[in-house]
Formats: sequence, structure tokens, C-alpha cells
Amino acid sequence: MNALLEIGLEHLPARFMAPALKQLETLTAQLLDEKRISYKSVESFGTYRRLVVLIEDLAEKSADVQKEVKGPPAKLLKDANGNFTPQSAGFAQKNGIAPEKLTVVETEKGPFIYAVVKIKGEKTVKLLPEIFTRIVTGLEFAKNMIWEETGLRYGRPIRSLIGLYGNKVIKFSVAGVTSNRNTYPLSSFGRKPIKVQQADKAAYAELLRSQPQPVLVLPQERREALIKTVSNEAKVRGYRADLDPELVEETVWFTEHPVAVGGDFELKFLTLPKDLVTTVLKKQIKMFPVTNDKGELQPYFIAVRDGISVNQNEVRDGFKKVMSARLSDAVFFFENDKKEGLEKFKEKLKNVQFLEGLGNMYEKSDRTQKLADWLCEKLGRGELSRTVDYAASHAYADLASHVVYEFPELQGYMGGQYAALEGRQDAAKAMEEFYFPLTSSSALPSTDEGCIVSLAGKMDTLTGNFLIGQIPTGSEDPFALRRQAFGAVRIMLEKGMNVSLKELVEKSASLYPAGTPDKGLKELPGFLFQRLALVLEQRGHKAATLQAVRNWYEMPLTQVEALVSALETVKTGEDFAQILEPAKRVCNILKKADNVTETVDEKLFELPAEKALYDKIHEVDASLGCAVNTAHTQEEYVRILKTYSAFREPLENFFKDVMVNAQDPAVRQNRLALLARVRRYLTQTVADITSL
Amino acid sequence: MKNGMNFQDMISALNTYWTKQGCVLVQPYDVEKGAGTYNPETFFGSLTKKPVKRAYVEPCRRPADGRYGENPNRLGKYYQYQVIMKPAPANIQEIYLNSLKAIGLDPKQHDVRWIEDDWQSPTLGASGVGWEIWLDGMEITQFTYFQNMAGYALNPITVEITYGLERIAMYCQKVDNVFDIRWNDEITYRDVHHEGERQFSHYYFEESNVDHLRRYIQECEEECFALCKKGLYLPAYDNAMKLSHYFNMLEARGAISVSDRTNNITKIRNLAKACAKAYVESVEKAEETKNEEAAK
Repeated sequence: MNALLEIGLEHLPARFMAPALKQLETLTAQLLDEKRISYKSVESFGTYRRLVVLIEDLAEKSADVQKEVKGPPAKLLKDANGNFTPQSAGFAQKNGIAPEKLTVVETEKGPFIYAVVKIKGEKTVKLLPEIFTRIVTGLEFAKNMIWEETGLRYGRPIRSLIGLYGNKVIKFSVAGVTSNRNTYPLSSFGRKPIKVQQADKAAYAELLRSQPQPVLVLPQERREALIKTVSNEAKVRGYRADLDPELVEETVWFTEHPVAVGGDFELKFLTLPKDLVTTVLKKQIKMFPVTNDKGELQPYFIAVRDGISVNQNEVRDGFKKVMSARLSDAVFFFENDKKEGLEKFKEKLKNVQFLEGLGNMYEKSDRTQKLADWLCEKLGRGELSRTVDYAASHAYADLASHVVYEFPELQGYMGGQYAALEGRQDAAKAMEEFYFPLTSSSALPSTDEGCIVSLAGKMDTLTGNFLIGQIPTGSEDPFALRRQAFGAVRIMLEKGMNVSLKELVEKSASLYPAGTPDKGLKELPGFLFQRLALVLEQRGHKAATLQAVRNWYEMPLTQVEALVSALETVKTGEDFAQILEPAKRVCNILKKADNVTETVDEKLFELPAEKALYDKIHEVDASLGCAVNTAHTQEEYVRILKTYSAFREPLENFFKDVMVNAQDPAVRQNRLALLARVRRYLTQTVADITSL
Repeated sequence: MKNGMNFQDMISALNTYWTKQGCVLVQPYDVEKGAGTYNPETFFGSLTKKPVKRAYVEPCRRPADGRYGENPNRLGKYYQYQVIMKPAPANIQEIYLNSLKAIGLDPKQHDVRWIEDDWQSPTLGASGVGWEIWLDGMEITQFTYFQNMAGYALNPITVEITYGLERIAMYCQKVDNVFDIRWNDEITYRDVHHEGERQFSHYYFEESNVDHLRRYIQECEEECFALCKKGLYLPAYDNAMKLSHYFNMLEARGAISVSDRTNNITKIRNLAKACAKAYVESVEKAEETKNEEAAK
């Protein structure tokens, strides 16, 4: 038989829904396992007013179980007279068995008394009230409230509960509500109970679907219905709906039966920047914008109402009025902004604080401009400097605009719009995409200018935060520094910028005024290292390989990646595996030794193996020439790394024939020096293979 | 045919409806305030275990929102219709939806949305959980289960329903300008309030005396604390409300800096807390006395 639990609630916020349904499933499975009741499947679904979980083929009894409980040591079983001791008798009684039933089991710590306890299964109908109660009370929400005297903390008030096993009501109570078989219509359509007869998913969904006011209780069905109704509404006019996935998801969770209502808006609103209009529609009033086949925004909106269409025209007029008022506000802000212009906004940044103790956003603009200019020169991209200079120095100006104040998500975008309006089309794209990439995998700024400006801004933010010791820990990262560092690394790597993180950080820090306190800049390289490792991982490398690249901080990131690729290539070779062991042995010996120098005196050699090893260093050195210093491609690194295995044989002979700890301290120090030379070669030439 | 109810009929209809729900109709409180929540009925009413059911119209003053009567949607003084019920009835959502019917808005004929919106008032040290209610996309009501008031965690819980009367009237009467709302069959909102909007905008934005306001604020603060100490929490609270209004006036005058603002909000919150404390203590003391007498 199946079981069904429905929690009837006042309107749960859309954002609570997905997590609540997920918990409902895991919590149910967990409790059924705890109670040892077998079942075929657990599935949750629902709407913002009903959270439902259906358990398929729930056994009628919980399983019998036999448990072995460890008691006192075996010597306490019986006393000298052969009677059970108080300890063993007490232990038996505690476990509900006769002392005669106790057994003795050998354990690692000697023999012990054991009680074998049999627990009989119970009827599921007896267990379900507790299980249902614990499922209901076990859900956690992002924000909780109380509303009745028991003080249960919950996402929104519980107003009804259904507990069914087959066709039988399971009685239980939570927060003053007792379960029955009643569910209720859409919230605006009264409280006449709808009786659920059976714990059956299809029947339950159909019962709600077939009401005079249908409720689509299955989220997937609702999602499909939503997409269909919105698309159709657009199609009627020959338009295409902009089915923004976020808005679709939100709408699925705040409707029980989505119905599209489309309407025109005035053409004059199309003179607004496109993203401004769509942001007002999607974010403020949760409506879908539409476009034509070319993706151009059309003067039409599609609102979604909850419930089937009655009085559609009046509802449409209402939506129209609200939308018109909101877009009029947007026009008002936009027109005011245009009157002021970017230069004036930039001035206003003097009153906007950047970070506690680090001055204002105007000063940040200045530093970003200088850093971007420096990058341009460093990268030999002088031809971009005019655009980069303007874009960087105005990148933050739109933060002082009215539109961005009202719609913070339009930061960057609006700056680009205003720049274009002021005749700086060349800088518009770079400013628009200043905050790119917005997520770890989304697009970088589409232009080279944009990448330079964006990188400069991010680096200045990172440097500033680390200077004042505002360093992300655990889940705490209020300024999204991890994302910014990740973006900075991606730009440097994917754009093949010929600059190292070290140069960039040092330049960025030098732009902060003299006397700026430094509470944590030394932590920044380690922080960047972690982001770099993640970026490399995203690009198909092993994050751990980066450990071997000693000079990652001083090298352009494309070169770091070439070396990482080279290491990963040679690592799989047999030769390489054979040099790894001796190399580690060299390091271990040196780790224990004191006062090691790298000055080798050939005259102190006593055995041929020493000389052979020494000669090998020179031989390999000579064969590589200056390749070590000029290498920057994967092929070049591979060639160098392959020379490492030349040390295998001389090292093996050395360890076989030579005692490093010679009696004569001079000879001992000479041998250590020789090994130190080898170590330098194997760990510092281009990479430290011993950390692979 | 005329659209929708007259403004005064709408208020009458709400009065009738909530009277039937057992609410005491109290009248507006005669001290300036920014929102119906400041009314002592709500502020003190939510604090203790005593059941409360109240409904009232509350004029609210928001000096900075004044537009000289020239903006079709903005007013420096407007009306809220406020309902509070403690404990919150289990079918309060249904009761509310039926109240819309009483003013001619059948929820079945419209799209009624409950959009998550957790109200809070830093000045009152108050917060709640609830929704703003959208009718065909327009916000018409704030619906809140209070959780905290003046820093006290509440239980039993008061539900507060605040209707935006002008917005609802504009919607029902299908007018685009607030001043075109029919008050009754002869008189419009313009006739009643336009001149007030004009004059008070001049006062709030240009004529109010900043030095006087700063002095009033100081005096109100002193008076409030002094009265609290004597257990006279009602006049003390009047002074807190007045201070809050003077502060809003200063803000409309552009005479408040960011740090000023934070300081003043903290100041008002402390006053509200002192009043609440004096009230809660007096209720507890009365309980004790009652129990002692019963024990005799």
C-alpha cells in the first residue's frame, strides 16, 4: 500500500520550495529506514500551498531485528556458587531477557557477556503518526516564523494536514492542526474541502486537476503548462516569449495553475535600454518580455496569473497599469541620469565609500585606471590605451546613477549605455561587461579592452580587501572575492596575457596611497594559488600538479599551464616513475642534514659513483644550454623534464656504493653538497617533481 | 455608470466587515505618525498576552513623499486601513480575502498574489513575516505576522493587515490620479486634501525651522525618558512618535547626514523600547497584585 502526506500551508515563498521538497524526500527515506519499514520509492512534489510526499509500496510491518548488546566481562556472568551475579542479572533485565539467555563471546579484549535482543516489527499504521509528525516538523526553511501558541518555527503557517495509508487516515497533530483527508482549492476560491480518498499519486494529481479551478500539483506538469501558456500567448501576436529560466522557475513555484495574460505597452518605453525594460518586467513585476524573430524587444508583456481565466480583460488592464507605472519610473530615472552624465556620477563617487579605511570609489576608479593603463603598456597593446583609459576611469561611475540605485543588477550595463550616449561607443562594450565573468563558467568580456579593464578592477578589489585583512574564510565571502579572483585568473589565462600574478599584485598594491596599513596582503598569493588550481582543474588538469610549479607566481599563467601540461605528459612515462623514488630519497637525506652547501670539491671524491653523478650534472646542464631559462611551451618543458631521468642510473649507483655519512666530516659535507646540486636540478630547474 | 465605491463608502464597508469579525473600531490616534503600526493600539497591543482585535483608519504622514499635490501617485499624507488581531485566527487569509469582496473586489475575478515580503521597522525595533498582496500586479495590502516588537520576541502572535486605501480606491474607481478619487458623490479627494498637500509640501521642504526641529527632538527625548521612569508609558510614547515625525521632517528638509540618520534611528528605537518596557512591567505588576489578592 502507498502512503501520502500533504502539508497545507499559507503561501510559502517561491525560494523555499525546491529545498523543502528535496528535504521532504530525504527526511522521509531516512525515517522509514530508521523505523525499518521497507518501501519501493519516495517522491515529493507540490505547490507553494501544499508540500506532498508519496511513499510507494510501504510495507505493513516494520522488520524484525536481532541486536547483540555487549555487557560486562564474562567473569561476571556467575559467581563461585554458579549463580548469576547482580551485574549479569541486571544487564539481562535491562535488555528484557532472562539471564539464562545471556551468551559469552570472545572479543579482542577477552570474553564478554552478550545479550541477544530480538525486536519485533510493529504495524506501520502504528508507526506512521510519529513518522509523519517528524517529517513535518523536521523541514527547515531559510527563514522561520511562529504563528500559534506551540511556537513551532516554520516557513509559513501550517493550516491543514493529510496523512493517508492506503485509504485510511493516519491521525497526527502539528502546531494545533490535526490530520484528515482534506485538501483545499486555490486560495482565492474558498475553503470547501476536497476529500482525498486514496494514497495514490495519479489519483491525487487528477483530483486536484479536475477541480472547477484546477490545481497542477506536479511541478513538471506545471512547468510545461507555464511554458506552453506563455509561448502561446506570444505566438498569437507573432512574437517569441523570452523564457528566462530564473523567472520560469520562480513562476512555477508561486503558481498552482499558471495562466498567461498578455498585453501591449506603450511604444515610447522601447526607447529605454533593452535590459532596463526587461529587468523592470522580470524582477519588479515578474512578467515575461517578448521579442520578434530577430530577438528585438517588442512592446508587449506576458503576465502570469494564478488560476483560470475569468474577467481576463480587467485583469489585463490592471497589469497594464502597473507595468506602465513601473516603466514610467524607469523613464524618469533614465532621463535624469542622461541629464547628469558619467562625469557627474564619477564626481559623486567621492561620497561613496569603497572599503572601511580605503577611501572612496572615486579613488578606486583612479587606481583602476592606472592599473589598466599599466597593463596596456605591459602587454604591448598601446593601440587600446585610449579606450581602456576611459572605460577604466568610468567603470564605476554608474553606481551613482539613479537607475543602478533602483536596479543594482544593471551595474556595468548602464555605464555602457551612458558611455555610448555620450559618444564613447568605443568604450561602451568594455564598460557594459566590466563585471564579467558573472559566474565561474560564464563568458569573459568579449573585447580585449574589456578584459584589461575588468582585470584591473578585480585586482584592485582583491588587493584592497587583503590590505585591510578582509580575507574570505569558510563560507564567509561577502564581497565575492573568490569569484573575482577566479575571474581575474581566467582572464589572464584565457587571454594569454604576458604578465605574472606577482607583477600584477605588486603594481596594484603600489597604487594604494603610501601609509595604507597592510594587514594581510601576504595571504593574497596563497588565495590566488587556490583559484588558479581550480581554474586549471576546470580546464582539464589535475589541481595537484600545480604544486610542482614552484614559480607559478612569477610566470605568465599561460606558461604555468604549459608546464602543468608538460608535467602531466611526462608523469605517465615509465622513466619518470623510476626517477621519482631516488629523487625523493635525495630530498629526505638532505632534509635531515645540517649546514648543507652546494660547493662540491672534486678532490674529495673517493668513489667512482660520486664522480659519475657529478659529471652527469655537467653533461645534462650542457645539453640543455639556456633552454631552461627560455622555455615557455609545453614541448620545451617536456624536453627538459625528460632529461631528469638521466639521473636515475648514476643516483642508483651512488646510493649503492657511497655512504653519505662518511667518517670524515669534509667528505660527508662534500657528498651532501653533491646531492644538493642534484636536488636543485630535480626540484628547481623548472618544477619540483618530488611534490607530484 | 460609476466605477467602484466612493472612498468614504469603502471605509464604511471595511468598518462594517471588520466589526462583524469582532474587531473594536477605534478612531485614528491624534499624533502624527508615519504608519498605522505606530498607533499605540498596535504598538502596545501586540506586546502582551491579552487578546486584541482592532480596526481603524490611520492617517499617515511621510513628509519626504509630498509633491505639492502635483504628482498623481505621491502624497505626503495618506490613509491606511489597519486591522490587528491577536491571536491570529487560523482562517485569517480567508477572512482577508472576503474583506476584499466587501469593497467590491471579488478575489475570484482578479489575480491575487501573495508575494514574500517580511516587514520590518528599525525605528520600532520591530519585525514580522508575511507578504505584500498584489491585485492584478498592484500592491494593495501588507499582511504581516509580527514576530518582534520593541525588541521583545512575541507570543501570542499578532497579525497585522494594512490596506493602502488610495491605491485600492484608484483601482476600483479606475482613475489614474489620486486626486480624482471620488470621496462621495459630490466631493473628490482633491477637494478634501489637495490644498493640504500643497501647503504641507512647502512647509516640509522649505519653511520648517531646522533649529526648532532639532530642539523639539531633544525635548521629546528628555520628556519620553522622564515619563517612562514614572510608569507613564502612554504620554511617553506620544513623545516618541512626535520625535519620529520631527526626524522625518528634518530628513525631508535634507538636514540629515548618513551618520545622523543612523543615530536618530537608534535614538527612536531606544525610546520605543523604554516605553514598551514600562508597559510590560506595569502589566506584569498588575498580574502579580491580582494573583496575590486571589491568594488571600
